[in-house]
Amino acid sequence: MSLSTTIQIRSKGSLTLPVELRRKYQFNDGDVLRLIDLGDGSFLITPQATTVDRLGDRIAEMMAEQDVSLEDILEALDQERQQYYQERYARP
Amino acid sequence: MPGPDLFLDSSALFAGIASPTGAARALLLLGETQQIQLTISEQVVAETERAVARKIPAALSLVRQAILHSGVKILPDPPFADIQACLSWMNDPTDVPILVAALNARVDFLVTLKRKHFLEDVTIAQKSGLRIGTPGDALAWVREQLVR
Repeated sequence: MSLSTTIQIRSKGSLTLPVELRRKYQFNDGDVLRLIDLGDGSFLITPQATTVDRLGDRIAEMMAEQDVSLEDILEALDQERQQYYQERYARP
Repeated sequence: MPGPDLFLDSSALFAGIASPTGAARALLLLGETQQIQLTISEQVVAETERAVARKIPAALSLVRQAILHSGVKILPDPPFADIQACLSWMNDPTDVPILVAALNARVDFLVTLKRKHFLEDVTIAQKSGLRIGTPGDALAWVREQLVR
């Protein structure tokens, strides 16, 4: 089987993995795969579980609870960059 | 190990951790699933930890775990002599250690959200020979590499 194959979206967005791939990678009914959105309608499907999503979502929740925005953190990162440079590289 | 190697500035790293729907998160997931290599420097870790410790200290442990799980390679900061040689390349000297860390790491792409400092001056990319862009730019480039 070639590295690329054509599949069709069916009712309710169902996709069927070709039987050759299911056999090759020993995928069985009920196995859970991870789909990563690469933008532009491209996706990556992987059997590997991700922890970053779970941790990141929890961190985003904590930020919302404490009313801290991404912009707040980006501003703090800018300040830390200035500080780090002074500590490590600036000469008196 | 995967082909494309991307250096994440602290802005891109944290956006990937905290923004569930953005391109930066997709890059972290691709790193975690070993489709690409993500590289950062000790400075990126330090800045991120310090900013989080100030703004959302309760999340510090989770942020550390997220960094580790994303499979990033953490490199030592570049020596001062390397930084000195490149100081004239950027208006803000404080960003030069990040540029030089990416340069020394021989990565394919430097990913940052600091538009003013890294992206608006196109001569920085020319002088360094690095592709430099936002997480969205980097994801588009990675997509091209992965579907080749």
